[in-house]
Amino acid sequence: MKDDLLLVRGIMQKNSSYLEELISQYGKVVYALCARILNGIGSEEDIEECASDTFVAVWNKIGEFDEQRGQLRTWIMILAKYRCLDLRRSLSSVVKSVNQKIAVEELPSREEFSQLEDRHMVREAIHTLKASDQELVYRRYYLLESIESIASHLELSEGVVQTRLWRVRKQLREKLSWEREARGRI
Amino acid sequence: MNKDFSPEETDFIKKLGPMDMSEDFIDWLANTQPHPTEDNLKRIKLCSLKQVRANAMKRTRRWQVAAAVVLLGIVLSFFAIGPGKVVAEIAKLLHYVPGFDSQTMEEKDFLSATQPVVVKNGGQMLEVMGLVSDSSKTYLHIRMNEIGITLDNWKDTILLKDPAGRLVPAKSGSWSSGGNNTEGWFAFAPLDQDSRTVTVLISGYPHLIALINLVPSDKLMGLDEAGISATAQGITITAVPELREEALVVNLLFQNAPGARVNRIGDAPFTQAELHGPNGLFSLLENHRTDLRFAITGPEPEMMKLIIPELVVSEQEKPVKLKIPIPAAGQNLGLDTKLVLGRHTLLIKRIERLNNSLRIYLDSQSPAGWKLSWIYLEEWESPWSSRGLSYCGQRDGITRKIQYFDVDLDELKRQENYVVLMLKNPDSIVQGPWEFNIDKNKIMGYSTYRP
Repeated sequence: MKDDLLLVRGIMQKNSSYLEELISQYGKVVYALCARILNGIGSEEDIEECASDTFVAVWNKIGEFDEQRGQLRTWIMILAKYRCLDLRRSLSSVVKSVNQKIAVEELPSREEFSQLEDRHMVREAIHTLKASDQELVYRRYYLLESIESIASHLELSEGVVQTRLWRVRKQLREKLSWEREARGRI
Repeated sequence: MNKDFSPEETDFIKKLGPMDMSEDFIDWLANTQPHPTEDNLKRIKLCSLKQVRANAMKRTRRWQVAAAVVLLGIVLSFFAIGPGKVVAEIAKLLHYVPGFDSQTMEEKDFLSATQPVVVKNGGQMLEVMGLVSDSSKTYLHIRMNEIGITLDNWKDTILLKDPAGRLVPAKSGSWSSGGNNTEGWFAFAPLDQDSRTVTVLISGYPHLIALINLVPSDKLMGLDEAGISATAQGITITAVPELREEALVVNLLFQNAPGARVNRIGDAPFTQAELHGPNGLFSLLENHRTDLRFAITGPEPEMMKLIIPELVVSEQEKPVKLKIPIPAAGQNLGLDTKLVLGRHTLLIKRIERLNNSLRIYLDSQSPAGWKLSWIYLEEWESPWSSRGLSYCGQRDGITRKIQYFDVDLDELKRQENYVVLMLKNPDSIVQGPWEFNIDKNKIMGYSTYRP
């Protein structure tokens, strides 16, 4: 496995063998993200196309990657999510939603990416949840899955999923307010 | 907000940041289904690499236009005297000329480097693959590592020093770079035909000086003496092995089927050249078009067998024009258009409109042992010009034949409801195998020079 910075340097020099290596390293997780976001909407080919577009975007935009702001893997996944949501929006008029539009239009700038303290606190709060609740959050709020789809995957009723999500949000709200209070005292 | 998300959830998602990507989330994702199959990953790789290469070709084309204006003299002189001409198929001398992948020279009498020379200094490397000089020009084929050359400095960077101590600058050149590596061909003034040495210098790199021994062409070994030949599908490959440090370098020379140029050895990742020894396979370190390098650690076995299972060749055939209708969004259009490109008969079966791209499904029939694996597409503009396109293609995971192309509609200058494409330079996978039994005793002490 090659060091990320070595991969970045190789791709900056437009050596395609480094892109090949990058795909070997991160292809699985990018595919997993694309498959999740396009679940039920896109075909296997769409998923592959989205993953492939992500790596072409990495090749073209590598100059924008800033190691000080985050890991290479995270940056690649943001590019992948952007592409997947875009493709999902264009693939299905049924699933097309204002929410996804927001997701694309409100793509944070590079500066915003590492500056949002609130976001960091939310992440920290999610980190403290038990694994099954984390999965709910990831599926619903990161991957924007429908309640129906989550219920089907987890073999639960839609009502149970709704209730558990409500409980998780409540738990997160409480954690976040404590965190803010604690920070306020400091 | 979407009716599927409550206002509270919407607020939560906004707080999370629509493009948020936590490490925890990525770890979770990596450990949950669905995982891609090997075939999924191969296709993703193939598609990504094809796209970036197509873009690179496009960029190259743009650069060439600019260079043609700025460096007209250089370009003209290069085309007038470039290696393609030098290594012309005029003379019938079948010599092994190190560093040049055709064994025929324009002139009968010339000087040649006796063998490749490698000079290293830390990570920097200069490898003189070959040098030839006839009465009109001297040509140098080199590979370099960690040595950058640019359009501004190449003439003053790559230098020859003749036996009289005179510095000879390059007159024309062509090179390509990938990562830290550069491979190039450079032309200089001719050397005195009595010269028996010449020095290759890289300005600014005083430790990288390569002294090249020269011999007249009649002292070079014939192909049969120098290497081992094998023929399949009308393509003869001569393999000339040599041992260099801990590697077996096998130089390859091709006597091609008409109109075909060997582009790649093996169809990676599906097939690649293999070097077999009594204890198994040796690792393939580098796979260049004209040479293969295998890692040899420990003593070399008495006999090794090199197997080249397939070649990928590009056919330099006359382009074919294809006019296709653009279906309405989401629509399919069945077609039954036949056309001949090189050795292949193409059947354009169906056009599908995918959002903002066209998917062109095709099938191909080829001679036995040949498969159509790729075609270069351009948009036809006039009988004199065509323009590069960004496109992506899909090969069948099993047959490895091209199945379809996706062409971005934004890239096309649409002519109402149809587009006109140029199909050119088909890549074919040519089935071998080409097999070479390599005798250790014939490698050791090997030299292209016959004293």
